[in-house]
Amino acid sequence: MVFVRKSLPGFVSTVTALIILLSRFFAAPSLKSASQRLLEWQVVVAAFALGLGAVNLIWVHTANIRFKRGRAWRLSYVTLAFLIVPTVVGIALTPKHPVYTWLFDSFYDPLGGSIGALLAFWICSACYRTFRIRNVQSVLLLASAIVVMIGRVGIGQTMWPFSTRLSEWIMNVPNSAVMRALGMVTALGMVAVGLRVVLGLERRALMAGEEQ
Amino acid sequence: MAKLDKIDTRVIYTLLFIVIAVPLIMPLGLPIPPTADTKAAFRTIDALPAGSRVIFACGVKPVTAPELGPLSLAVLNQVIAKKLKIVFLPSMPEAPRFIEEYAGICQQQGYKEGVDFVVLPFMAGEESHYAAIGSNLKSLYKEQKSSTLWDSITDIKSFALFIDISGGDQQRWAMAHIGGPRGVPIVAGVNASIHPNIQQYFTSGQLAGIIGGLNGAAQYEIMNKIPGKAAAGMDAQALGHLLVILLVVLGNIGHVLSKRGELKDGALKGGSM
Repeated sequence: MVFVRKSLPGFVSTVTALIILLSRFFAAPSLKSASQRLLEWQVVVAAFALGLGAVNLIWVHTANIRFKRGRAWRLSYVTLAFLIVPTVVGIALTPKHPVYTWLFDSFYDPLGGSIGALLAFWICSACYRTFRIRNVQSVLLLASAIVVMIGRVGIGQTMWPFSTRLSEWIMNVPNSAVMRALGMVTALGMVAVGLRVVLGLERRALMAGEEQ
Repeated sequence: MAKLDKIDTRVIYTLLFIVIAVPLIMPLGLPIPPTADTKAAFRTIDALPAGSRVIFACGVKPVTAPELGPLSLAVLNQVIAKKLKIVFLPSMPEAPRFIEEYAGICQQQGYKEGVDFVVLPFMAGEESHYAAIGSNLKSLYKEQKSSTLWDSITDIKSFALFIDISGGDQQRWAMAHIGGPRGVPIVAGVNASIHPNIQQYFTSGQLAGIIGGLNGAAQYEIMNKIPGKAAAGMDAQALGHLLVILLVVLGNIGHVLSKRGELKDGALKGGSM
């Protein structure tokens, strides 16, 4: 049992990672075929992960209702209704059925769009409260933010024609340079984590909830 | 004047609402100059001969639909006008609903499903999904119904262009598993917030073009000569930006004045002691 819980997942991770990694460096047909098969299996595993997320949501919200956890526990009824009803409708009638598309178009789409629209107000208020000039770096940040905000909309062309070219330069030169540096550092970190998985050293995910 | 850095949030929200709502009712007709990355995306699609196959990877979901919806339609209009063959690929669970709408538009323009366009089902897996597409597309979608267009495709290299419209990491996955190793050019359509993160890939040549946010969608509509929701929303966005800049400037003026006031009060108290 200890082998199944602790050693087997690490062994599977190592073998899977090695096959996919080696298939990128060697053109052996058997490696390519095995790598392709593993990637297709991963698509299936990811689909189960989506289902697991739904199960977890049901678990948490039924517990909220049973134990009346938090002041907004009644909203858990709404969450569960919006999870279960479209699922049942989609399975029973197919996602192309007019009832299912009505649920999506009348509830999910406008609610999602409203959340996105509210972001504009929150960002406006947050910018007003937090953008304060305290040092040279904050001056540079504020100045470049203003130039890009003006230059990327039509009013920049009208008020200050040079802002369009300047905002393009800011995006193409300093911004690209910094994002490239961040990207390289992130990639190095991912390589390090990947190597730890391949070597079986990354045990945190396998031992969640237990003392190491 | 020192209270300029303490404007009530409700006042800010009301001002923003007015500034956004008025241009939507009374358009100002501000110019929408195209940027280099949007022009590059347009030219890349424009250069494709009629009948070329493109993948239209759609990662639109309700939260991003206000930006990516008009963007997708603008690109789709150009693809249809160029008479390109389209394979729709949903990259988010919510995308199939939006792809249904785009497929409907294709059919209204005389496209036939199976001959001129094909809709693939959503598959989970995120980056591994993209890796499997780059590795062996036909094997991944082996259950896909046989049709003239689908049968003419052997692998990802059968496509002249990969158009990826989404608000996440999909463009990076596409570059890593499709653009780089398979040599298929990629055009990206992204939210305005993601645009700075992937601009570097355009300057390095890994992306053939980027259409960024509502601004990019508006530029695209103007270049297509089919103005739509994006162009209509740009006046509101422009004035919204101006309001944010004005509020930030006022906030900083109020902050400086209140700091000076504190210093003066401190000096007076120190002097009176």
